[in-house]
Amino acid sequence: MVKVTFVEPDGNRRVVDAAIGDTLMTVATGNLVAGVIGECGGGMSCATCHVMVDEEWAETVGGPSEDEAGMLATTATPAGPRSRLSCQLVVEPAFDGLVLHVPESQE
Amino acid sequence: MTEFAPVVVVGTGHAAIEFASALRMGGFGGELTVVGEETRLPYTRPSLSKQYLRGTVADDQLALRPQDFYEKFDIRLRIGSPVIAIDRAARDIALADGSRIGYGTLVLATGGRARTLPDPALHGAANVHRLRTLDDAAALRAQLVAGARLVVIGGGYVGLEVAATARDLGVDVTVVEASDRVLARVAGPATAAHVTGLHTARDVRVLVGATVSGFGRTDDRITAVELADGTLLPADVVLLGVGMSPNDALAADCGLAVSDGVLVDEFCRTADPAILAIGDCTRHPDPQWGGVRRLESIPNAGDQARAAASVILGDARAYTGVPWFWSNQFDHAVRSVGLPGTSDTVVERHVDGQLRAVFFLLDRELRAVEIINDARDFATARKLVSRRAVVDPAQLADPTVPLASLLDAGVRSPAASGAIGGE
Repeated sequence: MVKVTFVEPDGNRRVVDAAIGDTLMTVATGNLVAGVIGECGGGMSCATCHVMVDEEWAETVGGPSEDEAGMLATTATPAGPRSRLSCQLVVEPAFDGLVLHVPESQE
Repeated sequence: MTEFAPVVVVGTGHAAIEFASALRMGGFGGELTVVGEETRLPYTRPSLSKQYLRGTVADDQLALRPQDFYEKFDIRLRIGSPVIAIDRAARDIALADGSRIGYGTLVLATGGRARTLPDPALHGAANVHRLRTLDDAAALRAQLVAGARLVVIGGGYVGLEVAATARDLGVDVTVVEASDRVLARVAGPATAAHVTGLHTARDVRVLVGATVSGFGRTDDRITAVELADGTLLPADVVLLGVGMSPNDALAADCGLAVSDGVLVDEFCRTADPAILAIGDCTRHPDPQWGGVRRLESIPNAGDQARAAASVILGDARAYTGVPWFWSNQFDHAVRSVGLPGTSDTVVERHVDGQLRAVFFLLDRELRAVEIINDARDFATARKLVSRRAVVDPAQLADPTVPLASLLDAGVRSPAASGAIGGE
Protein backbone atom coordinates (compact mmCIF):
# COMPACT_ATOMS: atom_id res chain seq x y z
CA MET A 1 0.00 0.00 0.00
CA VAL A 2 1.12 3.54 -0.72
CA LYS A 3 -0.45 6.90 0.03
CA VAL A 4 -1.74 8.95 -2.88
CA THR A 5 -3.27 12.43 -2.69
CA PHE A 6 -6.00 13.51 -5.10
CA VAL A 7 -6.67 17.23 -5.14
CA GLU A 8 -10.35 17.46 -6.07
CA PRO A 9 -11.66 20.23 -8.35
CA ASP A 10 -12.76 22.35 -5.37
CA GLY A 11 -9.29 22.14 -3.82
CA ASN A 12 -10.17 19.48 -1.24
CA ARG A 13 -7.23 17.13 -0.67
CA ARG A 14 -8.11 13.43 -0.40
CA VAL A 15 -5.32 11.24 0.93
CA VAL A 16 -6.10 7.61 0.15
CA ASP A 17 -4.46 4.22 0.34
CA ALA A 18 -3.53 2.74 -3.02
CA ALA A 19 -2.71 -0.92 -3.52
CA ILE A 20 0.29 -1.79 -5.67
CA GLY A 21 -0.97 -3.02 -9.02
CA ASP A 22 -4.30 -1.16 -8.98
CA THR A 23 -4.82 1.63 -11.49
CA LEU A 24 -5.20 5.12 -10.12
CA MET A 25 -8.63 5.28 -11.72
CA THR A 26 -9.69 2.30 -9.61
CA VAL A 27 -8.17 3.96 -6.56
CA ALA A 28 -10.11 7.15 -7.29
CA THR A 29 -13.48 5.54 -7.91
CA GLY A 30 -12.97 3.15 -5.01
CA ASN A 31 -12.58 6.13 -2.72
CA LEU A 32 -15.31 8.27 -4.26
CA VAL A 33 -12.78 10.89 -5.28
CA ALA A 34 -14.77 13.73 -6.83
CA GLY A 35 -14.32 14.40 -10.51
CA VAL A 36 -12.98 11.09 -11.82
CA ILE A 37 -15.58 9.21 -13.85
CA GLY A 38 -13.95 6.40 -15.85
CA GLU A 39 -16.98 5.85 -18.04
CA CYS A 40 -15.54 2.97 -20.03
CA GLY A 41 -14.13 1.16 -17.00
CA GLY A 42 -10.46 1.42 -17.96
CA GLY A 43 -10.56 0.55 -21.64
CA MET A 44 -8.96 3.81 -22.75
CA SER A 45 -12.03 4.64 -24.82
CA CYS A 46 -13.53 7.64 -23.07
CA ALA A 47 -10.92 10.02 -21.57
CA THR A 48 -13.07 10.72 -18.49
CA CYS A 49 -10.49 9.58 -15.95
CA HIS A 50 -8.19 12.50 -16.76
CA VAL A 51 -5.81 13.62 -14.00
CA MET A 52 -2.85 16.01 -13.89
CA VAL A 53 0.32 14.83 -12.20
CA ASP A 54 1.78 17.30 -9.70
CA GLU A 55 4.94 18.95 -11.01
CA GLU A 56 7.16 17.28 -8.42
CA TRP A 57 6.03 13.85 -9.55
CA ALA A 58 6.10 14.27 -13.30
CA GLU A 59 9.42 12.55 -13.78
CA THR A 60 8.56 9.59 -11.55
CA VAL A 61 5.26 8.99 -13.29
CA GLY A 62 6.45 9.58 -16.83
CA GLY A 63 4.56 10.45 -19.96
CA PRO A 64 1.72 8.85 -21.92
CA SER A 65 1.95 6.34 -24.73
CA GLU A 66 1.04 7.48 -28.22
CA ASP A 67 -2.46 6.00 -27.98
CA GLU A 68 -2.99 7.61 -24.60
CA ALA A 69 -1.73 10.94 -25.92
CA GLY A 70 -4.33 10.67 -28.66
CA MET A 71 -7.08 10.25 -26.11
CA LEU A 72 -5.66 13.07 -23.96
CA ALA A 73 -6.10 15.45 -26.88
CA THR A 74 -9.85 15.04 -26.47
CA THR A 75 -10.40 15.65 -22.75
CA ALA A 76 -13.15 18.00 -21.59
CA THR A 77 -10.70 20.10 -19.60
CA PRO A 78 -7.82 20.64 -22.05
CA ALA A 79 -4.86 18.43 -21.25
CA GLY A 80 -1.71 20.03 -19.89
CA PRO A 81 1.92 18.89 -20.07
CA ARG A 82 1.48 16.54 -17.11
CA SER A 83 -1.94 15.16 -17.97
CA ARG A 84 -2.48 11.42 -17.85
CA LEU A 85 -5.41 9.03 -18.04
CA SER A 86 -5.57 7.52 -14.56
CA CYS A 87 -6.72 4.17 -15.98
CA GLN A 88 -3.24 3.86 -17.49
CA LEU A 89 -1.36 4.66 -14.28
CA VAL A 90 -0.57 1.52 -12.31
CA VAL A 91 0.37 2.01 -8.66
CA GLU A 92 3.97 1.09 -7.84
CA PRO A 93 6.03 1.55 -4.64
CA ALA A 94 7.71 4.65 -6.09
CA PHE A 95 4.29 6.36 -6.10
CA ASP A 96 4.18 6.67 -2.31
CA GLY A 97 3.22 10.29 -1.65
CA LEU A 98 2.08 10.92 -5.24
CA VAL A 99 -0.08 14.00 -5.77
CA LEU A 100 -2.61 14.17 -8.59
CA HIS A 101 -4.89 17.05 -9.51
CA VAL A 102 -8.39 16.29 -10.75
CA PRO A 103 -9.50 18.67 -13.50
CA GLU A 104 -12.68 20.75 -13.37
CA SER A 105 -14.63 18.61 -15.77
CA GLN A 106 -14.55 15.20 -17.50
CA GLU A 107 -17.48 15.58 -19.86
CA MET B 1 -39.57 12.18 -1.23
CA THR B 2 -37.13 13.76 1.22
CA GLU B 3 -33.42 13.66 0.76
CA PHE B 4 -33.02 11.10 3.53
CA ALA B 5 -35.77 8.62 2.78
CA PRO B 6 -34.15 5.21 2.25
CA VAL B 7 -33.04 4.43 -1.28
CA VAL B 8 -33.13 0.83 -2.45
CA VAL B 9 -31.55 -0.33 -5.69
CA VAL B 10 -32.51 -3.61 -7.34
CA GLY B 11 -29.57 -5.01 -9.29
CA THR B 12 -25.83 -5.15 -8.69
CA GLY B 13 -24.40 -4.39 -12.11
CA HIS B 14 -22.79 -1.33 -13.66
CA ALA B 15 -25.83 0.95 -13.44
CA ALA B 16 -26.52 0.03 -9.82
CA ILE B 17 -22.97 0.64 -8.64
CA GLU B 18 -22.49 3.85 -10.62
CA PHE B 19 -25.77 5.07 -9.15
CA ALA B 20 -24.82 4.21 -5.58
CA SER B 21 -21.44 5.90 -6.05
CA ALA B 22 -22.97 9.03 -7.56
CA LEU B 23 -25.53 9.23 -4.77
CA ARG B 24 -22.96 9.05 -1.99
CA MET B 25 -20.58 11.35 -3.84
CA GLY B 26 -23.41 13.88 -4.07
CA GLY B 27 -23.78 13.87 -0.29
CA PHE B 28 -26.80 11.61 0.16
CA GLY B 29 -26.78 10.74 3.85
CA GLY B 30 -29.69 8.30 4.10
CA GLU B 31 -29.89 4.54 4.03
CA LEU B 32 -28.74 3.09 0.75
CA THR B 33 -29.29 -0.58 -0.01
CA VAL B 34 -28.22 -2.38 -3.18
CA VAL B 35 -29.76 -5.82 -3.55
CA GLY B 36 -29.50 -8.32 -6.38
CA GLU B 37 -29.63 -11.95 -7.41
CA GLU B 38 -26.07 -12.36 -8.64
CA THR B 39 -23.89 -14.11 -6.07
CA ARG B 40 -20.69 -12.27 -6.93
CA LEU B 41 -19.37 -8.98 -5.61
CA PRO B 42 -20.36 -6.43 -8.29
CA TYR B 43 -18.11 -6.81 -11.30
CA THR B 44 -17.49 -5.34 -14.71
CA ARG B 45 -18.73 -7.18 -17.78
CA PRO B 46 -16.74 -6.02 -20.85
CA SER B 47 -13.75 -8.23 -20.23
CA LEU B 48 -15.88 -11.38 -19.88
CA SER B 49 -15.69 -11.89 -23.64
CA LYS B 50 -12.08 -10.75 -23.86
CA GLN B 51 -9.30 -10.81 -21.24
CA TYR B 52 -11.26 -12.84 -18.69
CA LEU B 53 -12.14 -15.47 -21.28
CA ARG B 54 -8.55 -15.51 -22.42
CA GLY B 55 -7.52 -16.28 -18.86
CA THR B 56 -5.33 -13.22 -18.33
CA VAL B 57 -7.57 -11.66 -15.71
CA ALA B 58 -8.64 -13.25 -12.41
CA ASP B 59 -12.12 -13.09 -10.89
CA ASP B 60 -11.15 -10.58 -8.23
CA GLN B 61 -9.68 -8.20 -10.80
CA LEU B 62 -13.14 -7.67 -12.25
CA ALA B 63 -14.58 -6.00 -9.15
CA LEU B 64 -16.36 -2.74 -9.92
CA ARG B 65 -15.30 -1.39 -6.55
CA PRO B 66 -12.93 -2.74 -3.86
CA GLN B 67 -14.48 -5.16 -1.40
CA ASP B 68 -14.31 -2.61 1.45
CA PHE B 69 -15.98 0.13 -0.63
CA TYR B 70 -19.53 -0.76 0.41
CA GLU B 71 -18.95 -0.73 4.14
CA LYS B 72 -16.71 2.33 3.87
CA PHE B 73 -19.45 4.36 2.25
CA ASP B 74 -22.32 2.81 4.17
CA ILE B 75 -23.86 1.01 1.22
CA ARG B 76 -25.74 -2.08 2.33
CA LEU B 77 -24.92 -4.62 -0.33
CA ARG B 78 -26.99 -7.80 -0.46
CA ILE B 79 -25.82 -10.15 -3.16
CA GLY B 80 -27.37 -13.56 -3.87
CA SER B 81 -30.75 -12.07 -2.92
CA PRO B 82 -33.31 -12.22 -5.71
CA VAL B 83 -36.15 -9.71 -5.48
CA ILE B 84 -39.48 -11.28 -6.34
CA ALA B 85 -42.03 -8.50 -5.99
CA ILE B 86 -42.55 -4.77 -5.52
CA ASP B 87 -45.41 -3.53 -3.32
CA ARG B 88 -45.96 0.02 -4.47
CA ALA B 89 -48.66 0.79 -1.92
CA ALA B 90 -46.56 -0.36 1.03
CA ARG B 91 -43.37 0.94 -0.61
CA ASP B 92 -41.42 -2.20 0.01
CA ILE B 93 -39.92 -5.06 -1.94
CA ALA B 94 -40.15 -8.79 -1.21
CA LEU B 95 -37.05 -10.94 -1.46
CA ALA B 96 -36.93 -14.64 -2.27
CA ASP B 97 -35.74 -15.41 1.25
CA GLY B 98 -38.99 -14.07 2.68
CA SER B 99 -37.60 -10.76 3.95
CA ARG B 100 -38.86 -7.34 2.90
CA ILE B 101 -37.05 -4.01 2.47
CA GLY B 102 -38.88 -0.71 2.71
CA TYR B 103 -38.00 2.15 0.39
CA GLY B 104 -38.51 5.87 0.04
CA THR B 105 -37.19 5.68 -3.50
CA LEU B 106 -36.73 2.48 -5.46
CA VAL B 107 -34.28 2.30 -8.35
CA LEU B 108 -34.59 -0.59 -10.80
CA ALA B 109 -31.23 -1.52 -12.29
CA THR B 110 -32.12 -5.07 -13.18
CA GLY B 111 -30.28 -5.23 -16.49
CA GLY B 112 -31.07 -8.02 -18.88
CA ARG B 113 -30.72 -11.73 -19.43
CA ALA B 114 -29.11 -13.49 -22.35
CA ARG B 115 -31.64 -14.91 -24.78
CA THR B 116 -31.70 -18.55 -25.67
CA LEU B 117 -33.17 -20.44 -28.63
CA PRO B 118 -36.41 -22.36 -28.16
CA ASP B 119 -35.05 -25.71 -29.44
CA PRO B 120 -35.67 -28.42 -26.80
CA ALA B 121 -32.43 -30.11 -27.82
CA LEU B 122 -30.62 -27.35 -25.90
CA HIS B 123 -32.25 -28.12 -22.55
CA GLY B 124 -29.71 -29.34 -20.03
CA ALA B 125 -26.94 -29.50 -22.60
CA ALA B 126 -23.59 -29.31 -20.84
CA ASN B 127 -21.70 -27.64 -23.67
CA VAL B 128 -24.12 -24.87 -24.65
CA HIS B 129 -23.37 -21.43 -23.30
CA ARG B 130 -24.67 -17.93 -23.13
CA LEU B 131 -22.57 -15.02 -21.97
CA ARG B 132 -23.96 -12.44 -19.63
CA THR B 133 -22.57 -13.21 -16.18
CA LEU B 134 -19.22 -14.03 -14.67
CA ASP B 135 -20.48 -17.55 -13.96
CA ASP B 136 -21.35 -17.90 -17.66
CA ALA B 137 -17.87 -16.76 -18.63
CA ALA B 138 -16.16 -19.14 -16.20
CA ALA B 139 -18.13 -22.09 -17.57
CA LEU B 140 -17.37 -21.12 -21.16
CA ARG B 141 -13.68 -20.55 -20.42
CA ALA B 142 -13.36 -24.07 -19.04
CA GLN B 143 -14.45 -25.54 -22.36
CA LEU B 144 -12.40 -23.37 -24.71
CA VAL B 145 -9.40 -25.63 -25.13
CA ALA B 146 -7.10 -25.61 -28.12
CA GLY B 147 -8.46 -27.81 -30.88
CA ALA B 148 -12.05 -27.69 -29.64
CA ARG B 149 -14.66 -26.80 -32.26
CA LEU B 150 -16.73 -23.78 -31.23
CA VAL B 151 -19.89 -22.79 -33.07
CA VAL B 152 -21.03 -19.27 -32.26
CA ILE B 153 -24.67 -18.64 -33.04
CA GLY B 154 -25.12 -14.91 -33.55
CA GLY B 155 -22.74 -12.43 -35.14
CA GLY B 156 -23.21 -9.53 -32.74
CA TYR B 157 -20.55 -7.97 -30.53
CA VAL B 158 -20.61 -10.74 -27.93
CA GLY B 159 -20.44 -13.55 -30.48
CA LEU B 160 -17.63 -11.93 -32.43
CA GLU B 161 -15.56 -11.06 -29.37
CA VAL B 162 -15.83 -14.61 -28.09
CA ALA B 163 -14.95 -15.87 -31.57
CA ALA B 164 -11.82 -13.72 -31.62
CA THR B 165 -10.75 -14.70 -28.11
CA ALA B 166 -11.39 -18.37 -28.77
CA ARG B 167 -9.41 -18.24 -32.00
CA ASP B 168 -6.49 -16.74 -30.10
CA LEU B 169 -6.74 -19.74 -27.77
CA GLY B 170 -6.37 -22.14 -30.71
CA VAL B 171 -10.04 -23.06 -30.90
CA ASP B 172 -11.61 -23.87 -34.27
CA VAL B 173 -14.37 -21.29 -34.71
CA THR B 174 -17.44 -20.92 -36.91
CA VAL B 175 -19.80 -17.96 -36.56
CA VAL B 176 -23.37 -18.43 -37.78
CA GLU B 177 -25.39 -15.28 -38.47
CA ALA B 178 -28.96 -15.25 -39.79
CA SER B 179 -28.81 -11.71 -41.21
CA ASP B 180 -26.94 -10.86 -44.38
CA ARG B 181 -24.04 -9.47 -42.36
CA VAL B 182 -22.53 -9.54 -38.89
CA LEU B 183 -23.30 -6.67 -36.49
CA ALA B 184 -26.50 -6.16 -38.46
CA ARG B 185 -28.28 -4.35 -35.64
CA VAL B 186 -25.48 -2.09 -34.61
CA ALA B 187 -23.17 -1.33 -37.53
CA GLY B 188 -23.27 -0.57 -41.23
CA PRO B 189 -22.24 -2.91 -44.04
CA ALA B 190 -18.78 -1.41 -44.57
CA THR B 191 -17.74 -1.88 -40.95
CA ALA B 192 -19.36 -5.32 -40.89
CA ALA B 193 -17.29 -6.31 -43.92
CA HIS B 194 -14.12 -4.96 -42.31
CA VAL B 195 -14.76 -6.87 -39.09
CA THR B 196 -15.57 -10.03 -41.02
CA GLY B 197 -12.24 -9.64 -42.77
CA LEU B 198 -10.44 -9.53 -39.41
CA HIS B 199 -11.99 -12.89 -38.58
CA THR B 200 -11.53 -14.66 -41.89
CA ALA B 201 -7.89 -13.56 -41.95
CA ARG B 202 -7.49 -15.66 -38.80
CA ASP B 203 -9.43 -18.62 -40.20
CA VAL B 204 -12.66 -18.01 -38.35
CA ARG B 205 -15.46 -19.22 -40.63
CA VAL B 206 -18.18 -16.58 -40.84
CA LEU B 207 -21.47 -17.82 -42.33
CA VAL B 208 -24.07 -15.12 -43.00
CA GLY B 209 -27.61 -15.59 -44.20
CA ALA B 210 -27.39 -18.85 -42.26
CA THR B 211 -30.29 -20.05 -40.13
CA VAL B 212 -29.99 -22.71 -37.47
CA SER B 213 -32.59 -25.45 -38.04
CA GLY B 214 -31.61 -27.95 -35.38
CA PHE B 215 -28.96 -29.61 -33.28
CA GLY B 216 -27.37 -33.02 -33.09
CA ARG B 217 -27.17 -34.32 -29.54
CA THR B 218 -25.73 -37.34 -27.77
CA ASP B 219 -26.44 -37.75 -24.05
CA ASP B 220 -26.04 -34.29 -22.53
CA ARG B 221 -23.85 -32.80 -25.23
CA ILE B 222 -24.64 -31.03 -28.46
CA THR B 223 -22.53 -32.63 -31.17
CA ALA B 224 -23.51 -30.57 -34.19
CA VAL B 225 -25.37 -27.47 -35.31
CA GLU B 226 -27.66 -28.02 -38.30
CA LEU B 227 -28.30 -25.18 -40.73
CA ALA B 228 -31.41 -24.70 -42.85
CA ASP B 229 -29.43 -25.27 -46.05
CA GLY B 230 -28.46 -28.73 -44.83
CA THR B 231 -24.95 -27.86 -43.65
CA LEU B 232 -23.91 -29.80 -40.56
CA LEU B 233 -21.37 -28.09 -38.27
CA PRO B 234 -19.67 -30.50 -35.84
CA ALA B 235 -19.38 -28.82 -32.45
CA ASP B 236 -17.68 -29.41 -29.14
CA VAL B 237 -18.88 -26.12 -27.68
CA VAL B 238 -21.79 -23.88 -28.65
CA LEU B 239 -22.22 -20.23 -27.74
CA LEU B 240 -25.60 -18.55 -28.11
CA GLY B 241 -24.94 -14.87 -28.78
CA VAL B 242 -28.47 -13.99 -29.78
CA GLY B 243 -29.07 -10.86 -27.79
CA MET B 244 -30.56 -10.01 -24.46
CA SER B 245 -34.01 -9.34 -23.08
CA PRO B 246 -34.44 -6.58 -20.52
CA ASN B 247 -35.44 -7.71 -17.03
CA ASP B 248 -38.67 -5.72 -16.83
CA ALA B 249 -40.93 -8.35 -15.24
CA LEU B 250 -40.65 -6.94 -11.72
CA ALA B 251 -41.84 -3.60 -13.05
CA ALA B 252 -44.60 -5.11 -15.17
CA ASP B 253 -45.86 -7.22 -12.28
CA CYS B 254 -46.43 -4.19 -10.10
CA GLY B 255 -48.25 -2.30 -12.82
CA LEU B 256 -45.49 -0.06 -14.21
CA ALA B 257 -45.48 0.54 -17.95
CA VAL B 258 -43.06 -1.68 -19.85
CA SER B 259 -42.46 -2.23 -23.54
CA ASP B 260 -39.42 -4.42 -24.03
CA GLY B 261 -37.91 -2.45 -21.18
CA VAL B 262 -39.13 -0.35 -18.26
CA LEU B 263 -40.47 2.92 -19.65
CA VAL B 264 -38.87 6.00 -18.14
CA ASP B 265 -38.57 9.69 -18.97
CA GLU B 266 -35.39 11.69 -19.48
CA PHE B 267 -34.89 11.80 -15.70
CA CYS B 268 -35.18 8.01 -15.43
CA ARG B 269 -38.55 8.32 -13.70
CA THR B 270 -41.36 5.84 -14.13
CA ALA B 271 -44.99 6.88 -13.70
CA ASP B 272 -44.59 6.14 -9.98
CA PRO B 273 -42.89 9.12 -8.33
CA ALA B 274 -41.08 6.80 -5.93
CA ILE B 275 -39.62 4.51 -8.60
CA LEU B 276 -36.79 5.17 -11.06
CA ALA B 277 -35.15 2.80 -13.53
CA ILE B 278 -31.70 2.90 -15.11
CA GLY B 279 -29.43 1.00 -17.49
CA ASP B 280 -30.01 -1.97 -19.79
CA CYS B 281 -33.50 -2.62 -18.39
CA THR B 282 -34.93 0.71 -19.52
CA ARG B 283 -36.59 2.09 -22.61
CA HIS B 284 -36.03 5.81 -22.55
CA PRO B 285 -36.38 8.96 -24.67
CA ASP B 286 -33.75 9.77 -27.28
CA PRO B 287 -32.70 13.31 -26.34
CA GLN B 288 -31.20 14.09 -29.75
CA TRP B 289 -33.68 12.75 -32.25
CA GLY B 290 -36.88 11.94 -30.37
CA GLY B 291 -38.63 8.64 -29.99
CA VAL B 292 -37.64 6.05 -27.43
CA ARG B 293 -34.91 3.45 -27.46
CA ARG B 294 -33.36 0.69 -25.45
CA LEU B 295 -29.56 0.56 -25.23
CA GLU B 296 -27.30 -2.30 -24.19
CA SER B 297 -24.37 -0.15 -23.23
CA ILE B 298 -22.01 0.63 -20.39
CA PRO B 299 -21.84 4.39 -20.99
CA ASN B 300 -25.65 4.53 -20.94
CA ALA B 301 -25.72 2.73 -17.63
CA GLY B 302 -23.39 5.33 -16.13
CA ASP B 303 -25.19 8.32 -17.68
CA GLN B 304 -28.60 7.17 -16.50
CA ALA B 305 -27.19 6.31 -13.09
CA ARG B 306 -25.88 9.85 -12.70
CA ALA B 307 -29.11 11.39 -13.95
CA ALA B 308 -31.15 9.34 -11.48
CA ALA B 309 -28.82 10.26 -8.63
CA SER B 310 -29.21 13.94 -9.50
CA VAL B 311 -32.98 13.59 -9.23
CA ILE B 312 -32.77 12.17 -5.72
CA LEU B 313 -30.19 14.74 -4.70
CA GLY B 314 -32.65 17.48 -5.62
CA ASP B 315 -30.59 18.85 -8.51
CA ALA B 316 -32.24 17.00 -11.37
CA ARG B 317 -30.24 16.91 -14.58
CA ALA B 318 -31.78 15.14 -17.56
CA TYR B 319 -29.96 12.34 -19.26
CA THR B 320 -28.49 13.68 -22.48
CA GLY B 321 -25.97 11.05 -23.55
CA VAL B 322 -25.37 10.14 -27.18
CA PRO B 323 -25.06 6.35 -27.35
CA TRP B 324 -21.64 4.96 -27.97
CA PHE B 325 -20.13 1.50 -28.02
CA TRP B 326 -16.79 -0.14 -28.36
CA SER B 327 -15.61 -3.62 -29.27
CA ASN B 328 -12.13 -5.15 -29.24
CA GLN B 329 -11.48 -8.07 -31.56
CA PHE B 330 -8.06 -9.37 -32.58
CA ASP B 331 -6.30 -6.24 -31.26
CA HIS B 332 -8.54 -3.99 -33.33
CA ALA B 333 -10.85 -1.46 -31.71
CA VAL B 334 -14.16 -0.74 -33.36
CA ARG B 335 -15.94 2.20 -31.76
CA SER B 336 -19.21 3.75 -32.75
CA VAL B 337 -21.21 6.77 -31.65
CA GLY B 338 -24.85 7.36 -32.45
CA LEU B 339 -27.24 4.87 -34.00
CA PRO B 340 -27.12 4.51 -37.81
CA GLY B 341 -30.91 4.15 -38.01
CA THR B 342 -32.30 5.85 -41.06
CA SER B 343 -29.62 7.71 -42.95
CA ASP B 344 -29.75 9.15 -46.44
CA THR B 345 -26.02 9.49 -46.91
CA VAL B 346 -23.22 7.14 -45.93
CA VAL B 347 -19.61 8.24 -46.37
CA GLU B 348 -16.56 6.03 -45.99
CA ARG B 349 -13.03 7.17 -45.26
CA HIS B 350 -10.20 4.91 -46.30
CA VAL B 351 -6.49 5.25 -45.63
CA ASP B 352 -4.09 3.16 -47.75
CA GLY B 353 -6.97 1.01 -48.90
CA GLN B 354 -8.10 0.25 -45.35
CA LEU B 355 -11.45 1.33 -43.96
CA ARG B 356 -10.91 3.88 -41.20
CA ALA B 357 -14.29 5.47 -40.62
CA VAL B 358 -17.91 5.42 -41.72
CA PHE B 359 -20.18 8.45 -41.37
CA PHE B 360 -23.98 8.32 -41.44
CA LEU B 361 -25.89 11.50 -42.26
CA LEU B 362 -29.57 12.34 -42.34
CA ASP B 363 -30.70 15.66 -43.80
CA ARG B 364 -27.03 16.71 -43.89
CA GLU B 365 -26.61 16.16 -40.12
CA LEU B 366 -24.11 13.66 -38.78
CA ARG B 367 -26.11 10.97 -36.97
CA ALA B 368 -23.59 8.22 -36.36
CA VAL B 369 -19.95 7.44 -36.91
CA GLU B 370 -17.99 4.21 -36.79
CA ILE B 371 -14.24 4.48 -36.26
CA ILE B 372 -11.68 1.71 -36.71
CA ASN B 373 -8.84 1.96 -34.19
CA ASP B 374 -8.07 5.69 -34.02
CA ALA B 375 -9.02 6.77 -30.50
CA ARG B 376 -8.50 10.47 -31.15
CA ASP B 377 -10.75 10.37 -34.23
CA PHE B 378 -13.37 8.61 -32.18
CA ALA B 379 -13.38 11.30 -29.53
CA THR B 380 -13.73 13.90 -32.27
CA ALA B 381 -16.56 11.91 -33.83
CA ARG B 382 -18.40 11.90 -30.51
CA LYS B 383 -18.26 15.66 -30.38
CA LEU B 384 -19.42 16.04 -33.97
CA VAL B 385 -22.39 13.71 -33.46
CA SER B 386 -23.47 15.30 -30.20
CA ARG B 387 -23.47 18.68 -31.96
CA ARG B 388 -25.47 17.20 -34.85
CA ALA B 389 -22.76 18.76 -37.02
CA VAL B 390 -23.50 19.60 -40.63
CA VAL B 391 -20.32 18.62 -42.45
CA ASP B 392 -19.48 18.42 -46.14
CA PRO B 393 -19.44 14.73 -47.11
CA ALA B 394 -16.46 15.32 -49.38
CA GLN B 395 -14.39 16.42 -46.39
CA LEU B 396 -15.52 13.39 -44.40
CA ALA B 397 -14.33 11.08 -47.15
CA ASP B 398 -11.02 12.83 -47.71
CA PRO B 399 -8.31 11.14 -45.62
CA THR B 400 -6.06 14.21 -45.92
CA VAL B 401 -8.59 16.29 -43.97
CA PRO B 402 -7.94 15.72 -40.25
CA LEU B 403 -11.22 14.91 -38.57
CA ALA B 404 -10.36 17.31 -35.75
CA SER B 405 -10.30 20.21 -38.21
CA LEU B 406 -13.98 19.61 -38.88
CA LEU B 407 -14.86 20.54 -35.32
CA ASP B 408 -14.51 24.19 -36.22
CA ALA B 409 -15.71 23.87 -39.79
CA GLY B 410 -18.85 21.93 -38.86
CA VAL B 411 -21.93 24.03 -38.44
CA ARG B 412 -24.08 23.25 -35.45
CA SER B 413 -27.48 22.26 -36.75
CA PRO B 414 -30.21 24.76 -35.84
CA ALA B 415 -32.32 21.83 -34.67
CA ALA B 416 -29.70 20.99 -32.07
CA SER B 417 -30.06 24.34 -30.39
CA GLY B 418 -33.78 23.84 -29.97
CA ALA B 419 -35.03 26.20 -32.67
CA ILE B 420 -38.60 25.43 -33.63
CA GLY B 421 -39.67 25.20 -37.24
CA GLY B 422 -37.71 24.92 -40.45
CA GLU B 423 -34.95 27.11 -41.77
